[in-house]
Formats: sequence, structure tokens, C-alpha cells
Amino acid sequence: MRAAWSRIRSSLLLVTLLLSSSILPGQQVLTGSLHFESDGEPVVGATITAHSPDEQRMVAFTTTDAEGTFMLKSEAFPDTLFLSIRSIMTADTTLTLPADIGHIDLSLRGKVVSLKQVTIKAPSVRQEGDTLNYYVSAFADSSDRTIGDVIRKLPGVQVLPSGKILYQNKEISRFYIEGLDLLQGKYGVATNNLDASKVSTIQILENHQPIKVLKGMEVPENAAINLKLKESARGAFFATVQIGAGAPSFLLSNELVGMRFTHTQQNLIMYKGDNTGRDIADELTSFYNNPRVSDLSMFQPSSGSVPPVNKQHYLFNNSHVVSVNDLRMLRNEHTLTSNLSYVFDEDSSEKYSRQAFLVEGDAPLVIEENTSFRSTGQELSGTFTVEKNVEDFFLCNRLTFSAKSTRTRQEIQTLVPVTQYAIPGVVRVDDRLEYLQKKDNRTHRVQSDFSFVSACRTLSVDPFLYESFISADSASVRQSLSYRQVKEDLHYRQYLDMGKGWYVGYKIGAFFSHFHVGSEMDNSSALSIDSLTNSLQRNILGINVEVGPGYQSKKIAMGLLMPFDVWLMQRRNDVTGFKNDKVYVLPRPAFYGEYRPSQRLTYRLDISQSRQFASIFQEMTGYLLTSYRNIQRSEGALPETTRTSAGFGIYYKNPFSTLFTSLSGSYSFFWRNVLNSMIYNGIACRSFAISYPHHADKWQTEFQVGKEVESLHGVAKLSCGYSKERSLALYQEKVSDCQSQAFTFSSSLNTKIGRYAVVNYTASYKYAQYKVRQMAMTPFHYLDESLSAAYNPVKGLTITAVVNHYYHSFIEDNPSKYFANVGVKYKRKRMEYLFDWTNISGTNRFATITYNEVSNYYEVYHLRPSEVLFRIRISL
Amino acid sequence: MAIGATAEGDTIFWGGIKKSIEQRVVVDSAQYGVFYRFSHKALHEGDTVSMTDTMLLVLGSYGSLFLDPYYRERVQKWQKSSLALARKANGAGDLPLEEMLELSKASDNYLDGNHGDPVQIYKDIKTHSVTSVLVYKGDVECTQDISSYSSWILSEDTAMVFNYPCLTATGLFGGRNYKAWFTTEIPISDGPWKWSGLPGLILKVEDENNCFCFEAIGLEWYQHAYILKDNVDYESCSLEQFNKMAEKSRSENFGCFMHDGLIYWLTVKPYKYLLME
Repeated sequence: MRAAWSRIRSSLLLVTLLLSSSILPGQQVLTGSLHFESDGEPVVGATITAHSPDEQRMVAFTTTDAEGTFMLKSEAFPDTLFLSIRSIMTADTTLTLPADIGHIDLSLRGKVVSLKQVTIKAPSVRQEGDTLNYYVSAFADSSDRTIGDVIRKLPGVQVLPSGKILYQNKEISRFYIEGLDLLQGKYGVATNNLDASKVSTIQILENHQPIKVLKGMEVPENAAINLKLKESARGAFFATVQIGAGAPSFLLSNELVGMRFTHTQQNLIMYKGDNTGRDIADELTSFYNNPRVSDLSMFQPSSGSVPPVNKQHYLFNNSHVVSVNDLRMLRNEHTLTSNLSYVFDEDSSEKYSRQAFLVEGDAPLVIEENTSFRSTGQELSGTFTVEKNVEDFFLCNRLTFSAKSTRTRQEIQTLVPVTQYAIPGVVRVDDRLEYLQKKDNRTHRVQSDFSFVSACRTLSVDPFLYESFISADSASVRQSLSYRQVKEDLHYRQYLDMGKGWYVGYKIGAFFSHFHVGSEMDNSSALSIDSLTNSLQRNILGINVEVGPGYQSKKIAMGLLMPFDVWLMQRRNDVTGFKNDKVYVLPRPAFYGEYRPSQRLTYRLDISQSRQFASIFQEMTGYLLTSYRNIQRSEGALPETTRTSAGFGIYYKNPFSTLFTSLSGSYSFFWRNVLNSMIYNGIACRSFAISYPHHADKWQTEFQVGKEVESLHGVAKLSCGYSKERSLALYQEKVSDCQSQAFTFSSSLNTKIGRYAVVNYTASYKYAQYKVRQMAMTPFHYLDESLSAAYNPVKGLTITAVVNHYYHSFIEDNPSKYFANVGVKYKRKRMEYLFDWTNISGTNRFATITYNEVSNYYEVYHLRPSEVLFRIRISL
Repeated sequence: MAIGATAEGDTIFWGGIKKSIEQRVVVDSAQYGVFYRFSHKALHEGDTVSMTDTMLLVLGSYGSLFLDPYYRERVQKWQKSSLALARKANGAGDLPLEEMLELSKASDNYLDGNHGDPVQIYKDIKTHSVTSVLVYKGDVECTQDISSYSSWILSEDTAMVFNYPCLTATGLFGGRNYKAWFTTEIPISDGPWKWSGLPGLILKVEDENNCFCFEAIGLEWYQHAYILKDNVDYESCSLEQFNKMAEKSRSENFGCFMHDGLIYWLTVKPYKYLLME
């Protein structure tokens, strides 16, 4: 009865449909109704397609309405129609019928069509124009404490061992928290201390232009990072206190960190004290491009090379770090940022080394040393930045100062026991003022860079090994080295918007630099041959001019920079009486082009040439003591290098599939006028620079890929690189043609296993080979692997285990070394209890071999013993 | 639970943006959900930029609902943050009015004000209509005939989309030429946005200028799920009025907090979205 009523109803509706539908003259019509066989209910939403008899060509299609009726229309049906009726609720039905049948009523058998589910999860990356949003919750797991732990997992992002962050293989230019740059480059303070649970989103701001006035005019290559906090963390003051103690020696690891972030004021205060091998001073490294200064490595305390293992295994430290950071918005959109830090650091190390010099035709020279190194240093540094950054105006003044003093003592057991003391100290003051104003289509920019550096070092060696330099009864020498630098660079730049994406930048500037370096012996009467005294001065007065047209559109950005400097350089050597005044013209042309065919893909090309002079230290004609068995001097020539380089990059990103990949390569050609030579007399080395024009070149290429792999519930990253270098080396007065090539491969995989465990594996492999005078040296293979696992048996409890494996093919007796660490963390409300057991196997020695063109260097480092550390961390 | 849905026990609900289930009314049962990646263009400080969102087509017995499944969640988060801000502002007590207004702008920056697409589109086979609803300074709806979005011309191309063999069709909608990929393997005459009318589910649609592209990326079936609509009296308006309001709701942030009375603020969001019609 119900079925009969349904048919009547559909017939009535069909009539209505026929009457109401717009059927054009000459059109053929097929109407019908579909019902379920079981209960006569209409089949709603079924699709009806009419095909030609060969079933190939679809001639008409329609769907059933709420009453199960349909109407097929066509200009001309074929004589016979092949009808296919499909619905999600019925079995498929096919019919062959004459086209002029007019109307059909069908009862269909019910059958639920099952569709294969393809479940998707909330996207972990979202793109909004030039901004990529990485949702922290999608990448964080129970083993992550700080936001740095999460950042290093993000596909497309790489964190170097130094803490520097790269995006698509290019270092980031800014690190913001809630859009403000509190840390001014020292972002390790945030990445190592900001709780990951406080952050909602990590944003990558691509091609980020920090100066608003320059937006659309200068397109920087580098990206910036911005951390967006959860609402609960914004404006809230949160702090953690950590107290830690351990054994076998009396270990301490204490910290107090407090922070607060709003859009108008941000503060971060930190104290850390540690003697467990964790390098807390590393957090205060600034990763922004600092004003250029001459190489001050002579004034840095150094124990030499370090083993390629986790720093915690070899660093014998006692460090205290204080960092105070404050940012506040002032009236009229000005921002004042103050950063102060103080570091007290005591380090010690012990190692055995054997250096063998290999030159064709000569007997190898072997130097064996047992070195014990101690250093105590303090550094006070600060930055004060006032900035106003709006659409048409930019003003920024950044004043930076630092004062650092260190005492080092080195005891070396070699042919004769030697003691070496060094007391280096450096004071620096830098000030950068930038002013930009946009008026109509012109943008004016004035920038001033001032820098003052004063450095000194006293180096004492007892006994002095260079017998020919001293009278017979003198056992020790002490040399003082002082350095002073004053620089001022003032320039004006104007950007002229030419319209349609074209602009022209002009720059004109003047600069002045003054350098002075001096060295003298405290007991000069002991010297018989050379005074070991220097007094050099270099003054540079110059102007620079730059014209650079550029173009920017949605897909293309390019710029041609044609700067050149005119220098008047005065060089004075008060010891030799040398005086030289000369004018130099130094062009530095550069071109960059970027093509973005889509939001996903970017091609970039950079070509540049520059000519540079070496620092004043390379001009010292009197011998300078650099260590107990190294003295160096120059013939007095001004060392210069001309570098021509070209680089390309292809960058692809797909935030939706989280695939990030890049391929980059570069070629650099160097022309140099000076070659450094070394002459050994026993273990004492004299190195000096001689005039010897020559060239060198370097090829480099790197490929990276990173992707979130859903089937593994984690992120996989892979990178590989190849480099090849050709250069000359001068040793024992013989010039050698040197070649080196290296291949590197590294990968990492972070995966969640169920709800309870996280496994992280990283590996890096290096193959390197040197050729000297076409004679190939045995290549070496180096592998560094780390496998870590975190297990959460119950809420709040995390057990971690880390195994590190290092392999070096040159270490014959034991090429593989293993280190194992375990940790237990239990978190309950605001309390966190941490127990760490490091170097479980108690491995106390680690050997490495390194190469250079003329020598190999075998070193055995003394490591920290097996240690336990218990810490309590309280969130306030 | 399905992403972006609300639930009570094993039952899940799609549609409407009111907070509680009681403020919404069931219009259909939900049988399948098809997720689409929606790539579209927007203007940011004069530049055209690409945006990517996830959209969901919930298929019911007598129609469907097309919506941004995250919109509701984002709006609620924003509401919570506004409340928190209001509390802070009240806690700040005697802050000058100007500073409180600055605070309010800060809140907008925090979320960028981008909650996604606020428009929910209901297709109804019974009434042969497609109704777009929007809650913005009031509840408005715009109802059109479904046939306006189902006039397709079949073309010869075939392709695999979302692992289904697809046929293609072209159509002119809102002044733009679109190409659709549909599969007869899923015999549901529906698709993303307002489209339907093809003899199979539309798995991909894009316009000839690559301004808009929907592509299926996920499919799930539901056992106890319903399509809801806010239980309010919608004010009917023309398509032109509706689009104007939808554009405003995506380009402006509107909020308020209490301080010695009611203070309102209005900010312009950084992105301007292209309209589909």
C-alpha cells in the first residue's frame, strides 16, 4: 500500500516536473522514479547517467530529488540508451532501453556502498602568505622541555651545534617573541629556557624585512622566527628554580630563570651555575651579524682543538652566568631594549697529542705533547637599543659594550717541560645609528657605525725554545701584545621608487679607520737576534659610492649592486721605519636574482666579487709569539685576497605535506698575493708570510630534505654535501699543490611509538681525502650516531636513554667509541625531579685524527668520568 | 573525535557556531565527511599571497553542509582570549583608556584575527536550494537555487584524483571558469562550496586563473553524526549584501571589553580575501 502511494505521488510530481521544467523544443526527455525494493521509500540523490550503447560516451546525467524522481534531457538521444543508476544506498543498476521509452519506474535493492576512509589530522603547518605557522602541539612530545627541543624537529629548520638556527639552509635574521626582539640575537637564552608548553605556534617569516620602511624595496634572503605564546602565558610571569647536586666530584647545577612577555613589555632574567660540563655560557652567543671587526682570535683563550663528542663529556668547567634582558615600549612607538650579561668561567682540560709532518722527500717530523690547560675568565657585556619602526620612519641606535679578561696557564710535557701563561683582555664599544625616512617615492637612509676596540695580551713562556733568539742564560720570555682600533663609517643611502616594481638605490659614504698593534718583550735584554718588537699603524680614510638598480614583482626579485670604495691607506712601521701611503680603488660588484614561479618554489642566484686586505696582524715584521713553539712574522707585504664567487639555490616547500627541500651550490675563486710558510727547527716553528701570488678555488654543494612522516608519527630529515678545494701550501720552503675533497651525509628521524615512547636517531658521516702534489693520502671515514629513546610508562614520568657511537677509520686500535647516558624525569604539578647518569661506561679517553695539507694530528683527550646528577626544578 | 566537531558521547555534530548543542537544531543526519584542501589567493599589503585552508563537506541524507571545520574552534579560542584580556584590562584598573585600547589591538595581533571561513553552506535536496549562513553582527542567510551551481558541461579529460578515477566537467560560476574532477565511483551528486549536479562526487575544482582550488584530501564515514544549524531567525539578504558582510567579517575584528561601561574596538585584519562570486 505504502509502495503504491509512493508511486502515485511520484507520478504526480513527475507531471509537475514536466510542466514546470524548461524543456526546449526538439529536446528528448526521459523521466523516472526510483524506490527501494524493500519499503518503497524514494531513493534520494541517486545519480543517473545515460550513455551511448558502446558505454563510452555520457550523453546525459541527472540526480533524483527528494521524491526519488529524475528527468534526463538531451538534444538527441541515441536510439538505444545505456542507463547506469548508482546511489550510495543501493546496488548499482544498469539498463539498456529504447530512448523513446519516455518514463520508467524502478525498484532498487538496498545496499550500503562502503567507502574507504582516508582520515586526516589537524595540519601541523599552515601557510599564510609569507608566514608559515608550525603548531607546537603537533611536533612536541614528552621528552621536550624547552622550545629549542621543538624547533630542532621542525621540517625545513636546522639547529647547528652552536645553537644557530637555519631555515631552508639559511640562517635566520631575527628571533622574535610575540613580535618583539627582546634578546637581540642571543636567542639561545630563549630556546634553552622557554618552556615549550608556553608556546602555541612557531612562525617562520620568510624573506623577512625587519625595517618596515624597506618593505617591498629590499627583499632579504633570510627568514625570521616569531614565537607566539599561548594566551595563558601571555603577560604571565613564570619562573623556574633548579637546584642540582651530583657525584663523584662535587657537582652543582643550579639555575633561576624568570620571564614575562607582553606586547608592551618583556623581561627575561637568568642565573645559571654549573660544573657538570654543560656549557651554559654558549647560550649568550649572539647570532646576528655583528659589526665587522678585525680578527681578535689572538686575544681569545684557547686550549686548541676539542673532541667531536658531546661537550658534556670533555668540558671540565665551573661557570656562572647572569643575563638580564628588558624590553619596553615607550611613548610614540619607541622601543627600548636592554641586555646585560656577566659570565664567569673556569675551564680545564688535559690531552696528549702527536703531530706528524709529511712532506715528500723529507723525514717526517713528529711532535709529541702532553698538555694540561687551565683558564679563568670573566666577561661583562651589554646592549642598549632604542628603536622606532613604523611604515614611513625608522630610527635605531644600538650601543654595545663588552669587557673580557682571562688568565690561562698551560703546562706542556714535551722534549722539555714548558709552562705557558697568557693573560688576554679585550674591551669593545660599538654604536650603530640608523635613520630612515620615506617621503613620497623616496626613502632616505643614514647610517653610522662606530667601533672602538682595545685589546692586550701578555704571553709568558718558560723556557723559551728558540735558542738562537736569546742569550744562553735566559730561560723565559714574556711578550706583551696590544691592539687598538677606532672606526667610524657614515653613509647616506637613498631609494628611489621608479614604479612598476623598479627602484634604484644610491649610497655615498665616508669612513675612517685607525689600527695600531704593538708588541714588546718585557726582558728584551735577553734577546740576541730579533727584538720581537712591533709597532705598526694603519689609517684608512675612504669614501664609498654605490648605485644599485633593483626590481621586485610577485615572482621576480633582483638587484645589481655596484659599490666601490676609494681608500687612502697609510701604513707605518715604527720599528723598521717603513712608511707607505697609497690610494686603492676597491670595486665590490654583486648581483642577486630570485625567481618564485609559485609560493612553493624559489630559485636564487648570487654573484659577487670583492677585494679585501688582511688584518694588520699579518703585516708584523717582528716575530710575534703565538705559543711556546710558534712564532710568526711577515715580510711586510700587505696581504690581499680577491674573491669571486657564484652561488645558486633551489628551495621548495610544501607546508601542507610538510615537505621542505633545498639544493644549493657555490663556486669561489680566490686570488692571493701572499703565502704563509712554516719552517720547523726541532719542534719550534717559525711561520712567516712571503709575497707569492697564487690562486685557489672551492666548490661546494648541499642538498637537504625534511618531512613529517605520518606513518612514522615523526619528522625525518636528510642532508648531504660535497666540497672540493684546491690551494697551495708552503712548508719547509717547498710549495705544494694541495687538493681536498669531502663528502658529508647526515640524517635524523624523530618518531613517536604509540602514546608512550619517542625515539630519535641522528647520524652524520664524513668522508675526506687530501692530495698533496698529486699524491693521494689515505681517505678517512668518520661516523657519529646518536640513538635516544624516551619512555613514558605513567603520566609525568619520563625515562630517557641515549647512546652515542663515534667511528674514525684512522684510529687503528679502537675505531669505535660508545657513550651511554640515562635520565629519569618525574613531573608532578609544579615540581620536576630529574636524575641523570652520564657516561655510564666510564670511557675516560677519546682519540681523534685530523688532517691538513702537510700534517696529521693525533690527539687523545681526557674525558669526564661516569657521573650522576640529581636536580629538582620548581616552576613558580 | 573528528577534527573541529563537537560531540556528546559517541554522537558528533557539525554546523552552527553557537556554543551549546541546545542553541542549535538538527537538520539532517551526517553520513560522510570529505575534507578538501582549499588553496586560494589573498591580498596582503598590496601583494597577492597564497593561503591554504582545510574545508569539510559533510554529506547527509537530504543534502550537505560545507564549512571550515576549524572556524568554530578558532572563534571560541578568540572569545576566550578576549575574555582573558577583558579580565586583564579590568585587573589593570586605572590604566588610561588609550593604553587599554592598545591592549585590545595586541589581542588582535595575537591571533592575527584569522579564524578561517565564517560562512557555512547548506545544500538541501528537498527544497532544491543552497543556503549560505553567516553570524556577524547578527545572523544572516542567503538562499539560492541549487541549479545556479550545477550547470556543468562534460569534457573529455580524465584523471586520478584522491586515488579515484575522475571525469571532468567545466562550468562558469560567479564570472569565473571552473574545471571540476568528479568520480562516479562515489555516486553522490555533491561537491565543495555550492557546487553539485554532477553524476558523482566532485573531488577537485579549480578556476582557470588558479585563484581557487579545492582538492579532496580525506574521507571519513560517521555512524552517529548530525548536521546542525544555529537555532536562530536568520535575516534573509541578497547575495550581494551577503558577500559584502562575509568580506567584512573576514577583514575586520570586532570586539569589546568592559571598563567603566562598554568600550568597542574595531581593527582591520592584514589579509583581504578574494571573493568567489
